[in-house]
Amino acid sequence: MNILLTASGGVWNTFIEALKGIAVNSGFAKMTWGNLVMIIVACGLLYLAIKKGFEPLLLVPIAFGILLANLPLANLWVVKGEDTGGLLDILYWGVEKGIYPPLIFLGVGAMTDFGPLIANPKSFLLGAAAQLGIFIAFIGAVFLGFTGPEAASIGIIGGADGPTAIWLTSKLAPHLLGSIAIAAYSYMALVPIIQPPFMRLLTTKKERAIRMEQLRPVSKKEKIIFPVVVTLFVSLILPDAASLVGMLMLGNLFRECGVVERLSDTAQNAMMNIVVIFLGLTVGATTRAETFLTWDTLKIVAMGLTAFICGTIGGLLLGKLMCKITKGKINPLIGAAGVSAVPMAARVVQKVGQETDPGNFLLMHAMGPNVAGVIGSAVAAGALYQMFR
Amino acid sequence: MRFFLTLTTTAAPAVTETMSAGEKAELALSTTLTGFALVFIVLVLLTFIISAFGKIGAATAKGDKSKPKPAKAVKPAASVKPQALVSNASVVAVEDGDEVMAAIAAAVYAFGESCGKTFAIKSVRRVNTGRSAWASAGVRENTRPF
Repeated sequence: MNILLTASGGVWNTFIEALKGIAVNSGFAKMTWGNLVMIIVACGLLYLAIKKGFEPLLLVPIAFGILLANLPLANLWVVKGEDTGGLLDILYWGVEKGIYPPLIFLGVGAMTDFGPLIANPKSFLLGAAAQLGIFIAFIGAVFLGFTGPEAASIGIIGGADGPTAIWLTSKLAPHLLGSIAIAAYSYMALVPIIQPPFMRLLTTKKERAIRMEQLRPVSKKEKIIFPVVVTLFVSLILPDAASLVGMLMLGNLFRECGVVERLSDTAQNAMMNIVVIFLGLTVGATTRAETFLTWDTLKIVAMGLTAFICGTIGGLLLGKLMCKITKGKINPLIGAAGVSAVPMAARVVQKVGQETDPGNFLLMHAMGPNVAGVIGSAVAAGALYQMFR
Repeated sequence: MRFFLTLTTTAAPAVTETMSAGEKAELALSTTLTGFALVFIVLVLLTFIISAFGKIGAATAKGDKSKPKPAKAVKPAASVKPQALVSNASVVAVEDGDEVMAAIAAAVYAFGESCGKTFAIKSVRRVNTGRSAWASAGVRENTRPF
């Protein structure tokens, strides 16, 4: 009996010790307040993406990347993007080397119809004016104490173009990548909330009610020549923008030339989806508590909002000027679509225009500045990279 | 082109921590002016280039149209009665002519048959106001509430 009691006591002690060991070495024991906050942030982003539909294709992988990176002892965060680390480190290599953003641009190009821009090339001007936000945010970031390359990376949030923001930040300020990517995609999702008040504030009811002439039909020949001309021209002036603009235009050529439908389909769907998963997950995995929960993140969020607002204002002001010059032929609202965020910003223009005149269809007119904004922000990114590399 | 490259690469020291407010202002303004000007110049030039292509395309198309073409005689669909013949002289050119004309003639004939009357199509021309059913469907699809 005594032997049995002694044996069972020993087993019990061993069991308790084993449990203690597991508890001490578990993630719960090593959990810091920072990790906890970041996990809550990740869950909040997942909620916004899944429940509210805010840019779910990117926010879901980014949010889950944040979750994985902040699991104590799991060592899943991106260390330095070398092949010395684990899964996410190796996948991050594509971000660090600037591979994923141009591949995403390839898919975006294959999905984009540049017809409205070709039909009304003046839209390029609105796409340029809406880049004002990038440079206003740059000025703000410099005065908030960021270095030149950091300020340039923060400013590019105003381009309202996630891949461009990630491309420039990965090259100029990789330590801010997580904060900038999250700010950029969050604001892009919030375009329908951020833009309309400024659109109503800066335009009169009469201006918002302007009906624009129907766009001319664009021939297939023009649509095929367009990507070749834009690639040649932009890349020769700004070689640093060639990877983004070149891939955007290659994707568009796939779409328009009509002889490589399989490639166009792959660029739009399979390849795009794979790259989005890799990009989102690894960008999210760069956000550890100690680097993300800082005052700098709050400053970036504030500057990102400034960039979006100023970009909208820049586009609207030039829209008003063009409205005056053309004696009321251009509805200034379409200037707000110049901030990129395709096609959300164009849809916002359509919605705000229809509040004043339900029979007014501005969508196709707004798509011109909208896609011009994509080219504009890629040019701005190339220019900033050339200045600060 | 060389000018832009020189201009942009001489801008902007990287560190702002030790800079005075005046130096920061100089950095901020020079970068903004250079960058914004560069974006505008590139996109303004693209505006001109694409406009020029559009005009060349339009001129070429006009040249093609101005060449005399034999008038297209639209034949009635097999099921269409002789009364529903389309008058050759009064037909205005329509894209994808024959199929569209056949469809219109068949629809008119079916309508006439249902109400016991016979109609003759004298002319068919495209109405420029409004948009096609496909375009309307596209606009509706793209403008649904968020």
